[in-house]
Amino acid sequence: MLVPFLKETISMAITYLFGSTGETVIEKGGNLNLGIPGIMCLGALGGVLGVNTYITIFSVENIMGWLLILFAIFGSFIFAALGGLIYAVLTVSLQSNQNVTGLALTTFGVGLMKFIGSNINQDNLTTASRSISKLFNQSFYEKLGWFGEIFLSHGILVYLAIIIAILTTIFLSKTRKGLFLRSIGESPQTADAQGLNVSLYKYLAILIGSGIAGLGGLYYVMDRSGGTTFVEASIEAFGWMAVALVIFSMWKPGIGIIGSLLFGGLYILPSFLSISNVQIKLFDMLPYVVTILVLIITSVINSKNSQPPASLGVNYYREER
Amino acid sequence: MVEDKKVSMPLFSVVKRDNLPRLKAIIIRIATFILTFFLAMLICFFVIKENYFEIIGTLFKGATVVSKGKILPWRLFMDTALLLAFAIAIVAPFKMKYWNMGANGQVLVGALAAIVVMFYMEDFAVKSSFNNVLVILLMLAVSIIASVIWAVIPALFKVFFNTNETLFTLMMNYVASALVGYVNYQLAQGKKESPGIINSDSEAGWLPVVLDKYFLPILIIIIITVIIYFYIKKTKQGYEVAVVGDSINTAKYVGMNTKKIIIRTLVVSGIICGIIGFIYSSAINHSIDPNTCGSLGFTAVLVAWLSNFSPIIIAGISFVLSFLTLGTSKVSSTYRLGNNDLSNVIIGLIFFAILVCEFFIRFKLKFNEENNIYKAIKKIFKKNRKDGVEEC
Repeated sequence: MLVPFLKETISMAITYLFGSTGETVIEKGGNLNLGIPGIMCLGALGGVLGVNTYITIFSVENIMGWLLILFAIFGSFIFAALGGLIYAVLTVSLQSNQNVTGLALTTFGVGLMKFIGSNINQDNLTTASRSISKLFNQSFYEKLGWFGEIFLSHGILVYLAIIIAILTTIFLSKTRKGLFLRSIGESPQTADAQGLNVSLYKYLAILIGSGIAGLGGLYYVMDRSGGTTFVEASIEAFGWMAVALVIFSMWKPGIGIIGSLLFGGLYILPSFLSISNVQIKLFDMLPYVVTILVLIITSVINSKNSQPPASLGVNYYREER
Repeated sequence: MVEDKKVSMPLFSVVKRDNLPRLKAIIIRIATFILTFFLAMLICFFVIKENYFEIIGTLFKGATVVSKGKILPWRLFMDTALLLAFAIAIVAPFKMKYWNMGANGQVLVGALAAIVVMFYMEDFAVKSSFNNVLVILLMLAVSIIASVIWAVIPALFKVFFNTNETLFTLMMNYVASALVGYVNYQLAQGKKESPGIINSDSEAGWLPVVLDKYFLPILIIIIITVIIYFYIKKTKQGYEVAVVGDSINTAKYVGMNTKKIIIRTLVVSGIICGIIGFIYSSAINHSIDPNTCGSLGFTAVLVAWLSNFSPIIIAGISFVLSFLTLGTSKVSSTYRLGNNDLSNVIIGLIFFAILVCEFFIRFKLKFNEENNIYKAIKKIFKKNRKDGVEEC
């Protein structure tokens, strides 16, 4: 019972982890992007289009796993980054309100995924998903017992998510460029006076962060749900959870790994308990209630270490005094 | 000695505009909208590959469709009124810079409370028409109470602990959805997902039909809009909302109790959401499911922001967006595009375009005469002008 539960927890957590790591990078540059749900949907769409492109060029009978994954990741990243580009142009260059832009992007992204998604060929997604959702041979990880089952039975995107989260932590806390990005999030005026190119940093943070978040959509559609529930997938809800997870992790992707495991565990918990269908409905609200509790607790504690970047949500206009 | 370093001037700098005449700003916005609309239709044209004007015709027909035996396109009016009501509900908190993203959830719990009353009080209501009126009033009351509670919880945490209200209210939406799923299951005694339409035989607790099923709800929403208009523009409380929104420190300085003002405003917002929930249960659907409100709560945030807090402009934008949504769903079904999400794509595009045009209303680009590219372009233009003169 415990082994499949832990395995499923990790598998579910990755959707949140991609989203929250991406959003952390964006928020560290001072931009609050409420378009993450839309961007994750765009990532899912781009990933599926990438898979479809692969299948058209080669064939579905003879899939080379690594090449297929490259196609999927490339498509997903590009689509999500394009969504991020819209957001970046509007908020960084054109000084639009960040919340409004984000909401419009969410409306657009969710709509576009469902609109195009329901009009493209989804026949081969399940077949393609099989070669994305397993990195190691089954015979290999089964030999390792529970350890293999929990940690090694996943697809490559799971390990990629954890690596990206760790690398992001190192980038933000240990490198020069990371320090510059954080200083822009705290006070763009100061950073500008110091000679940093504020717009460039913000653009890069938004594009790369969006690309990372988009992989969460790809992961959910092509790995977690096995390519079956593309259009019906509730990626939008996962996107909002990812935004909340950023606050939970106090803007540290390393803590985000733990947070996403917690959220993932809560999400799949009902299906592991022997309860009636009626009670399952009640359990559906558990992840959201816990998110609310987390928001309340972090705001009540209100410690110095858990504060958002000082200029979060405020656009930088150079000529403003 | 400091060396003279050649500094390359940027091509242009962004300068704040002196206030553009209001009429001109409005014309720019409307022109942007129309342009984006035709562009979006062009995208549809490339997807559908049918006659461009036929697609637009289908959209207009779909939006203004008049159902059998009626004279007016009631569906369009109702959708407009609903979006208007949602936006009216969040406009006052919004003016205080309180991002209430939870209108969906607030309306849902209100509608749910009304449904529960309707379900359990059928026997009482059918005894006499007076009893029926009592039940309807009770439905309205519980709906308002439930919505107010749902709206005030995040506000309390906002004022006392500065908890992020954007995410709090968003999460409350999903909690409300789950609650609806749970109660629906209970009402159907765990046999089905939902009990379906409540009291379909006795019509107990249903708002009476005057002229049309949608007439009374629309009338109620118009009355609310007028009241809120006066509340925001003409009352002391409305003025306090504006002060808190402009500068919370000023409000504190002049001795306003900002905590009280924020909570009071959210109570008002909750009351309106409760009335919308009541309308959903008693007049429109007579049933409930987690997606009853669709994404109206989000669209309403965009509408409220775009309207610059004016209820009249909100009404106009709501009409246009409802028109588009109804029309595009007709386009989707006519050309077999699968689902209704085309409207969200188009609404998203239109908002992007409007955000771009807002920039040009607020700022202008000032070109630098020192910049080399600018000089080069100017040279070309000068040359062209000379050529033109010679041709003449």
